[in-house]
Amino acid sequence: MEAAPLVLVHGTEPGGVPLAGATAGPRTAGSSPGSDRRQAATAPAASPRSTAGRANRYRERVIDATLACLGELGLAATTVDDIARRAGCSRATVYRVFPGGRDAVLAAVVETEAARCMADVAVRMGAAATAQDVVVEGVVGACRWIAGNRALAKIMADEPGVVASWLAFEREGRLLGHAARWVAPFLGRWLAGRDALRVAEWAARLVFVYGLYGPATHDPTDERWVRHLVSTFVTPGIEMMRGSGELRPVVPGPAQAARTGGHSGQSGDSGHSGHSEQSGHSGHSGHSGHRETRNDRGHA
Amino acid sequence: MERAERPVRERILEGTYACVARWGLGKTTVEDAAREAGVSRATLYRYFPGGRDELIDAVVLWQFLRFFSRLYEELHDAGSLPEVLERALVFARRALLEHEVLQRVLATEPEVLMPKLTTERERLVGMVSGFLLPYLAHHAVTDGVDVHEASDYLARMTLSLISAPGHWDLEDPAQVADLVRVHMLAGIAAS
Repeated sequence: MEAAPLVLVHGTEPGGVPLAGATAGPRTAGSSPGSDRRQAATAPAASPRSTAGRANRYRERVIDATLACLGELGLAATTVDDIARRAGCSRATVYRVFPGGRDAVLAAVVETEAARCMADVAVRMGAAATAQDVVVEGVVGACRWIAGNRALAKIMADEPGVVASWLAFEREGRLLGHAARWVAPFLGRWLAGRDALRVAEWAARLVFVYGLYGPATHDPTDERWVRHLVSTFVTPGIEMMRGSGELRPVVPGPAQAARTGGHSGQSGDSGHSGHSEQSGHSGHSGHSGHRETRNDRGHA
Repeated sequence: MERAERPVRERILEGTYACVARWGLGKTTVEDAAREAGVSRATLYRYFPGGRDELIDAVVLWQFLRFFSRLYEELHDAGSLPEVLERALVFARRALLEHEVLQRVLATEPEVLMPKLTTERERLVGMVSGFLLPYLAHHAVTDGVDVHEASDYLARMTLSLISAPGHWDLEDPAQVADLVRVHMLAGIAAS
């Protein structure tokens, strides 16, 4: 079972397999790869008779069937026969679409599921009005996706070693690194470079330690509780970073020009609506070269 | 002589650990462990009725407990909460990397060890949290912060950092100080 986690890692890597979710940066957050996928699956008009079109259609069916099998049987017990039966095709078709067989199918499932998760989370984080909200939305979105994934729940319950091996030591480090590099741009309006990366990595850790380290003391899919957790333990650190007085460029933020009035009134970054309005009204090019000091933000 | 005076349970655990160090987790049998500890199979089963599985679990837990007693020793003179966390992170990360048996088992038999670490992780969160709680109770904590919630949070983050430091270099004292002050304690203890 090396293939699946490896592809998850490669798939999220810049320059690796181009995952729809991996390329969904803050500004393209609205376009969900999940919906692209469904469009592809339900749009046979493009080339109804082409081999590529058929292969594509079977690809979706095989992936969905595999997910269903994993949710019912777990990882070790799911065979190519089970997958083929569930997908309503022959073993030969599975092998034609995925010449690598079972491992290739599982790798594609991990890749597809990672893209779906990232798409969900990207939409939530892209709509955030404060750095705190980016962390809250990221954690809640990822934890809800984890909690709602039947295949993952089945494997975590019956074959804990499989998931554990992705969530400890070197592999945990690699996953954290990928997640941090992916999340950091969403924080770009409030935090620069290294600080953004550190907060992004911290957010990924929150998902790991509350969503996947066994039963948490609280429910990490409960937005109110996560907001309490983040505002109590994480936001003061973000404010400390932003109050440190270094100069940094103002990075054009996620598409939320229309949301400047929609502040949550939470503690933390929500006090900086002046900055939000500014970046909301300015075009992309208007930001180049614009710098401000962090101390201008009215921190105590 | 000294060997005979030590509690039998401890001797069995030490013997089992010696076998794991030599042959790995998967190949260590009850017979090997009993022979190494100088006890009979029957005696071993009296202490560990669950046999091999119970024995291996007990050895993993025993190693964790030994680690914690070393950690207590290491930190006995730490004065402040930031100092406790800084020194604990550095000490624990180094202990993990320098633990030859753990590293060998991780490299050669991850599929045997990982499920055990998963179940142990819940217990570890409780152990680390319990370790930190007295320090939190004796340190000025920000108004409105629940010390139990804070120690649980710090325990989870500490375990995550020790297991995978990510962007942080836990060998660099300046980075560790920054990590503790800004990311771990900013909301918990005003510095």
